[in-house]
Amino acid sequence: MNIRSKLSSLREYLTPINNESNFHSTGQISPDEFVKAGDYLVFKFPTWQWGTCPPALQKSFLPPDKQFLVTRHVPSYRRVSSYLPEIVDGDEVEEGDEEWGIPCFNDKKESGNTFEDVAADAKSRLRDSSKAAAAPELDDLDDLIEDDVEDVVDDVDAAIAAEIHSLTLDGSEVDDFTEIASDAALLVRKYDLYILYSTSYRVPKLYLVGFNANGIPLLPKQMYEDISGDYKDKTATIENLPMSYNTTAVSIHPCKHSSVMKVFMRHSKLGVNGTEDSKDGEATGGIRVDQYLVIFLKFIASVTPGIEYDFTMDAL
Amino acid sequence: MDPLLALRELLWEAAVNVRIKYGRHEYLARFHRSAYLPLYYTEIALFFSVLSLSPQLESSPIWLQDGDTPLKWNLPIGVLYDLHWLHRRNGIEPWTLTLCVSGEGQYPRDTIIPFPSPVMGEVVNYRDTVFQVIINLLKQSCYVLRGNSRAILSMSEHDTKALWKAIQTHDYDMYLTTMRENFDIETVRRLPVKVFSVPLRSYTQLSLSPKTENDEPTILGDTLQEFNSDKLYIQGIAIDDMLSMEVLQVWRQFRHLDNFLYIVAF
Repeated sequence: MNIRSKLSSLREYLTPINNESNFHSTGQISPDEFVKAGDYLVFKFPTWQWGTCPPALQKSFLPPDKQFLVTRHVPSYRRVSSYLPEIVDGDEVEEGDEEWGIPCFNDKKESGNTFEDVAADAKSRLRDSSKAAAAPELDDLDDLIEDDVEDVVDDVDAAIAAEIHSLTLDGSEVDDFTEIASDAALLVRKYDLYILYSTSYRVPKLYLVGFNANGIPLLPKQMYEDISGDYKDKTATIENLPMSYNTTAVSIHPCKHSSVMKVFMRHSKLGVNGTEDSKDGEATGGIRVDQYLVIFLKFIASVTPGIEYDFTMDAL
Repeated sequence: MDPLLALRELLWEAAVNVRIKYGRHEYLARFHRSAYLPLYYTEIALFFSVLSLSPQLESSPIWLQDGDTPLKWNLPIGVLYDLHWLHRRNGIEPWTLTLCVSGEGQYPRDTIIPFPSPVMGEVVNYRDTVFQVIINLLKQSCYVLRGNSRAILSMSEHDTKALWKAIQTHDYDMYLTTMRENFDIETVRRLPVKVFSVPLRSYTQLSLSPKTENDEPTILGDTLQEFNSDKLYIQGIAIDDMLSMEVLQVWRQFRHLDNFLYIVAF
C-alpha cells in the first residue's frame, strides 16, 4: 500500500477538528459547513445522497447518518485520451502521428501538427463519432483492423481494442463487425463518486470507484485513464475508501483545493459587484457556504472531464 | 400604509367563488386568485371520497373540467376564472366545475399536466409537481427580467422551502420576505407578460421592454394593439382606464406570485 496514502490517513487521524468558520478568507470549511453544503447539494441534485457506514468507521465530528456524500452509476463514455492528445514530454510528442483513439472508427486523415489543428480535428471527430457510433460504416472498420495488426504505435487505440477484447464474452475476434455498434456500449464505464471531509486540509476530498460495462470493478490503472493528464501523476492517489473495509479507490489529493476555492470566490465577488445582482451592504460576496460543494464539483469536473455528473447549474 | 402596497396585499388575498360537482354532491369553495388548483385537490378529493364512498378519488389523480374543457392547472386560478367564466357570468353566480378522476375516465395528458400515480395504498401527491411547476415559472420570469435564472437557481434550501410554504399556506408576509431577500424587483431588463386571447384562441408570451426606443416609458395600450380587443382584463379588472399607464407600473402592481403579468383579451 502506498506510503503517501498511509501518511495522509495518519495525518487525518491526528489533526484536531477545527470548527471555526473562515471560509471566505481561507477557502476551507468546518465540518458543520460541510454538512450544510452537503444538504444543499442533496437538495438541488438528488442524484447525490448522504451515506453512512459501520459505526467502527464513522467519524465523530459528522452526524452518523451524514458521513459522506455519494453519487452512483455516473457514466463515462470516453477516456480522457480520446478528448485530447497525450502530451507526455516535449520531446516525445510524435510529429505526424495524428491517430488517436476514437472508438469504432479511425480516420487516417493527415492534419496539422499544431495544438489548434489537433483540437479542431478533435471537435469534428467528436461530432462525427457520435453519428458513427450509431451507424458504423464498414470501410472505417476495415481501417481499424488494419491499424491494430500493422500499427502498434498508438497505445490508446490498442488499449481500446484490448478492452473490447477483454469484454467480449466468447473471445470472438474484432473481425465480428456485427457487434461493433455495441462495443461503444462496452466502453461505457460507471463511477461511484464519494465526497469525504478531510480534517487535515479542512476541505472536501473526492474518491472515485469505477466499474466497467460488465459491472466489474476497475483497477486503479484503468481509473487513471479517466483523470486528465496534469492531475494524474501529481494529485491522484490510490487509497482504500475510509468508510468501507476493502474498496480500492482513486482519490484526488486535497492540498490545492482551498486555494482553488479562494480563486473561485474572488471571481464571484468581482462578478457580483459588476452585475445587477449585488446587494448593498453585503460584505461577503456572492458565494454562500452552502454553495461550496456545487462549486467544488465544477472544479473537479476539469480533473475528470469524461465523467458526466450533473452540470445543470452554473457555478457562479 | 402606502396605497400601492395595500393594493398588492389585496390582490394576494383576492378570491373567487367556485362550485365543484361530483355525481350528486357539491363542494362550495373560495379559491384564491393567485393560488393554483392542485393545492386544493387533496381536500376536495377527501371531501368527495368520504361523501360518495369512492376511495379511488384519493388514490388516482383528479382534474377539474368546465363543461368538457379540462382546466390547465398550471395557470393561476384567477386567470382560469377570467378566461373561462368572466364573460359568461350572470351577477354573482359561482363558477361551476365538474370533478373527474382517472379511474372513471382517461386523464387528458395531452391537454393538462399529469401527476404521478401513487404507490399502492397511498394518496396522490399533487404538491411536488406543483412545486416544480411554480419554481419553473419563477425561473422563466427571472430569465426575462434579468437575462439569467441565477437568482432563483441559487436560492438556499431554507429560502426555497420557506417560499414554497408561503405559497401553500398563502402567507403574504412570508412570501414577501423571502422574495425580497432573494430577488431584487428593481432591476428589470424586460417584463414577462402572458396574454390569452379568446377570439384569436392564442396564448402569447411577451417580453416587453420598459422603455421604448426613444427612451420613453412603454405604454400598456400600445403593446396590446395586436390583440385587437377592447375587452381586456387583468386580475379580473377591466383595464380600459389603465391603457395609458406605463407597462412597468402595471407589471409591478398586478403581477402574479410567479412574477408574470397575465392579461386576458376577449
